[in-house]
Amino acid sequence: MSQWKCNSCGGTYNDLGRDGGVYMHACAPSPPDENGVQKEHPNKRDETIVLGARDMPRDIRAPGAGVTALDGQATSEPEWVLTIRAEYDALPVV
Amino acid sequence: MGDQPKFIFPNPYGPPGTPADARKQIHFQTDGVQPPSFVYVDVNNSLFVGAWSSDTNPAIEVQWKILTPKGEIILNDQIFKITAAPRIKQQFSVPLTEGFLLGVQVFVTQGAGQQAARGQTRAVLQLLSGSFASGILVQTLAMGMIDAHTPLGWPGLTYEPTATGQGYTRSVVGTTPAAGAEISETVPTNARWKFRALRFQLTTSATIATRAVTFLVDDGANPLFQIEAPSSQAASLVQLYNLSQIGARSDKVATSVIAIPFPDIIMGPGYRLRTSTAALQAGDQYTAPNYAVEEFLSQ
Repeated sequence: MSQWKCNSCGGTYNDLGRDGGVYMHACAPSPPDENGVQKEHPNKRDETIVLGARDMPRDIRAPGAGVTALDGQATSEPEWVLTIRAEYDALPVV
Repeated sequence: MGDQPKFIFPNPYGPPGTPADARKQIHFQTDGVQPPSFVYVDVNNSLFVGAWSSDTNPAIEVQWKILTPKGEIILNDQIFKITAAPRIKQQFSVPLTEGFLLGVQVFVTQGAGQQAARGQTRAVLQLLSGSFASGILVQTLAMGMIDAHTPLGWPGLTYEPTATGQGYTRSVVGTTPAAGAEISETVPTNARWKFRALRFQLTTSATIATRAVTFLVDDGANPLFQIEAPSSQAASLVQLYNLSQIGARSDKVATSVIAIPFPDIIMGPGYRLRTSTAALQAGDQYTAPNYAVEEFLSQ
């Protein structure tokens, strides 16, 4: 379990839950303006998975401005994100 | 001579030396018996296993037996680690030898860090004819949820739709928003959530303003449900908000706890649970939401 800070919205979160399940962060919309209108966060990060060829997981939906590791880990993204990308890139071209 | 035992009912085995089934009405073949399976496979066939899981480092074990043309029964066993992203289908194939498929089963092998709980892992057993990349799935043997104590097997054909039975109960600690930011939690890809309970706290800064917290469910874009807290929150206050399937909104001024009713709603992938706070100030701070959901795989 590692802690991360979203560089888009400033939110902090753990990449794994207490049960070991992956947690996927997505930036919240901005607070409502004087007219009650809420807009999506600019350069929103969304870690839900998008599928590529053959319904294989390809990447997260939007990296946004990236994340900053808070626990001193050396990776640029949570481990599970890097794994998805690497496995998709390694798929044989059909 | 002594008394001989007297049998009130005929001795089913007859007098000593009589073949065991001599007195039975049904006799069975012992030569030329046909295989007890209608599934004949050859070297062009594979056992095709699909699995989805929200567990940590999940692994499944597949066991099968085949009656070969020589009359031998071959037992086989293989463990597969599910390395695909959570809730995304991963596929494996195992080449088969020629013969009659007598049985196959799959279950979760509980390894380190795994929950292996009900509702986390789903599997499908199929027969593939041809190569993994371009073959044809010719028969589905079984499909359903598996865990460490609940295998899925064939024969005993099983089809279990994804949303039946009990899902996996998850307790989630969400994102701690930055100061002045809202709460938002998104249902992951290939998951469906039944909302159960949610709790968060708002600490307002000294800036004078009347904050009004509204809680919403949307589909990623369009609001589907929203409800306002029964009372607003002034400056320099700490208020705890609870949502669940309760009867009516209420607030307890003394304990600063607000209860908000929430419908028994099923949320699909990409749906969001979030706040919309009128007059939220830059120095206001939400805690991370803690929430409980019952999760189902949506594939």
